[in-house]
Amino acid sequence: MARELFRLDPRTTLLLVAVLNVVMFSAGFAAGAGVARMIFMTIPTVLAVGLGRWLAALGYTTLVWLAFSFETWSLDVWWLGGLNLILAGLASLVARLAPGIFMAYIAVISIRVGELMAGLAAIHLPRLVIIPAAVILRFLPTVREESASVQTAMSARGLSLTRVGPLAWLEYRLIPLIMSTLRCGEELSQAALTRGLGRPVRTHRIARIGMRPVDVLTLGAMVTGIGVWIVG
Amino acid sequence: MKLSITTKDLINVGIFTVLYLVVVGVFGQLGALIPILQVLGPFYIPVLAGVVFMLFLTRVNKFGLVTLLGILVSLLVLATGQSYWVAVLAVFLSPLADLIFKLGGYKRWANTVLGYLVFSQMLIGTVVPLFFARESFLAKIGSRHDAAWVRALVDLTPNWMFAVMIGELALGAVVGAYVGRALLRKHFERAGIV
Repeated sequence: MARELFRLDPRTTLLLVAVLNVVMFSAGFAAGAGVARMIFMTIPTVLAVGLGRWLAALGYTTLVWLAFSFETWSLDVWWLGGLNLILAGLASLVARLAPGIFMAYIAVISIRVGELMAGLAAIHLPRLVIIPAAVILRFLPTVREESASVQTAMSARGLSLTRVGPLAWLEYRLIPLIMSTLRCGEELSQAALTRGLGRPVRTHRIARIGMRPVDVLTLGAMVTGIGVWIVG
Repeated sequence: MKLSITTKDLINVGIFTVLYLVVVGVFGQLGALIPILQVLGPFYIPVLAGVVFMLFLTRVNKFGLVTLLGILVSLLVLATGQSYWVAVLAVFLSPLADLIFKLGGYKRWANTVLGYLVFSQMLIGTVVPLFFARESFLAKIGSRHDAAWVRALVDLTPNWMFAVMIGELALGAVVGAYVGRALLRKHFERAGIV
């Protein structure tokens, strides 16, 4: 486990996921919008470093800045013609998608289930939303692990994509994945109900959540980014 | 028959949200690397997701769960950098699908197919910016390039493609429902899971 330097409140993280995507997809090419995008591209880098994920931070930062520079620059280069359009489109797609995906990844690895439940309860969401949200956060890594196990099992049987064809391959990957995930789900249900998740009473939370200096700084950066976008 | 939503239902919704998302997002995106599959995506994605959705329906017997699934899926799709149009559509389409299922008692096959067809249409939201953001992109570059060049670009992605994709989603959902039911019978009923 990487060593953590700092971590955000779950509510700040979720707000950031939402706002970042809005900016990435709505900001155009004007000067202010460009600066806003640069600010929001940088925030996930800082958070990844805070979580001690140096390598991920480096990879993401390199990719997104390369794509962003190419997108901006290629708009001024007309002599490449059709090829330019394809490359610019690709760069634009990467530059706009990568920050959102990376931020979602950060949210999944940084938010703990207990903190998420405490955070969502603190903003008065109903249990209709809180329980599925906690299950989703808990299960995203599980599905990934199960998928890797299915992959191993299938290659041990020599069932590769080239050998069985795409349709059978999909069936052999998908069905076991669904089965094993559901089995995990059944167990989780039992465990959670046994521990009293289904009770209609208000529970005490032991997860510590709340605004810390990093949250204030992050919110400040977000407000600045949006401000520059609107003014510019 | 008034049934209230239990904690077990909610956990189920969470699990199936993840499964649906994985199928739509990960398995669906495998094809996005090849251009022709991108155009076919609206067809084969609901086919793949069919088995997950049909399995989910075997565990649903009250109103609200399909709605919740749809809204949660759309919020997560939003979090992976897709258009907010998915969420806008999900708010309307998933309760509608839920109602269709309910009218069939979450059992009748015709309602199941129709409901899944309606539910799948929210995926069209992912390509809305492809057709919408193009306008602003064209306006921006139109000032620098000659008209013939811009025309060539417009010809590559015609507007009627949007209608084709809606049709593909509908067809894909119907096929997905049947494929899903077949796979359910082949694998899950035999294993005693359903």
